[in-house]
Amino acid sequence: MNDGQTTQSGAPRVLTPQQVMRYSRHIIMPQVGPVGQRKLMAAKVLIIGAGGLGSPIAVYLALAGVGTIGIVDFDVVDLSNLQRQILHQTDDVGRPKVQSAKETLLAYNPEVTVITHETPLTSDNAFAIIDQYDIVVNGADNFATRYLVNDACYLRGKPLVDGSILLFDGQATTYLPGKGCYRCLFPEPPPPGLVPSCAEAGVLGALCGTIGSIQATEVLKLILGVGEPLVGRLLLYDALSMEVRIVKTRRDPRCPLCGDHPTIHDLIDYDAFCGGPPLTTTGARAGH
Amino acid sequence: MAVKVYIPTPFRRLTGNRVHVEADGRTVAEVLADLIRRFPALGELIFDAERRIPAHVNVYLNNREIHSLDGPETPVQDGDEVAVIPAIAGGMQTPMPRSAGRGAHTWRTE
Repeated sequence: MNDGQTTQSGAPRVLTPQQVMRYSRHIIMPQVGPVGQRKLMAAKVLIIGAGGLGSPIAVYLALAGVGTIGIVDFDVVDLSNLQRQILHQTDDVGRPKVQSAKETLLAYNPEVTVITHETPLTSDNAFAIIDQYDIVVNGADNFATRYLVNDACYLRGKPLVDGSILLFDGQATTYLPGKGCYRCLFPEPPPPGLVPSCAEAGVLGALCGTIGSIQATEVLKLILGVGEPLVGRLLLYDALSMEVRIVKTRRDPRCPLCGDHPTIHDLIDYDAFCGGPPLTTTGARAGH
Repeated sequence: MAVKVYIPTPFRRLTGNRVHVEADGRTVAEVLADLIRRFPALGELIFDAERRIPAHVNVYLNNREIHSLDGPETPVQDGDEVAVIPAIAGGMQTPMPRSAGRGAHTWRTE
């Protein structure tokens, strides 16, 4: 459908004076400009989890005017989330996170479209959800969902901006299809019993902002086509020693998903793979 | 060869909260063996029951993953840095070895 105000790609033909003002600090940069801003407004980005990482990711993408932001989460806001999950506020406790997230994002920027997917991400629905978007950002809080998102993105040819946090440590990288994946980096999850529930976790709240902001930056760069994304590189952030290191990653020719002789051609049973409880209870919950 | 080993925060309390520790060896494998001689509890986290590096832990020599080099047998030089980095997914408690015994491949919650 084309209403004459947009191009075939969905980008607005002309920015309104209000848009020029709202996005002026972006537009003034030659790496963005009005053309780049229209790219951002036409982009469709899916965020897995409206939790610690998903919060800053979603806020910065909305502020930047990313036109369509999808959020997958089936959890409700808990008081213990508020130490780090800036999409939600005290009055939101008990409400579905996707509802709280949508309200927050629209309050920040009513020009964006927020699509809520109030469901666990599973092998049954992952393709149908991911297919609606250009780029996927991972803020999942468990290994089963991480491998599911990785596999689904590779099999559907979607760029995946990955991030994870624990205690004072954060990791971030970007996977472009054919240039390595999460399975190349970590072929298998930790054995069962290694990973207690999110409720038992500890993580520095401000760390979510650091890693989530890096992920949002990666998404904006991919949309704009500027800079060097974290492809083939894993950023490791240590908040305690305040050290940042970048290690090299690579596509593993033996990778069962994206290697030379792949054995994974469709989504699998990720609960069995990770040895955890059913994904219906551990799916894209909360996201850190 | 004296090598500096970087310890990420999930493993750090097993090294007395030290960010970097020294270890000796001619290869990455020897450095790791020396590391767990100095900090035995680390052994259960960076080796599996067969004393192999498990698939959710990566070892980097000067920021290059050792399987892109010569694996555990990659030679090291004085002043090199080894980093032992686990996969993290959030929601994970500080991993702790179940016992100080060799080969016990289970982490427990606090």
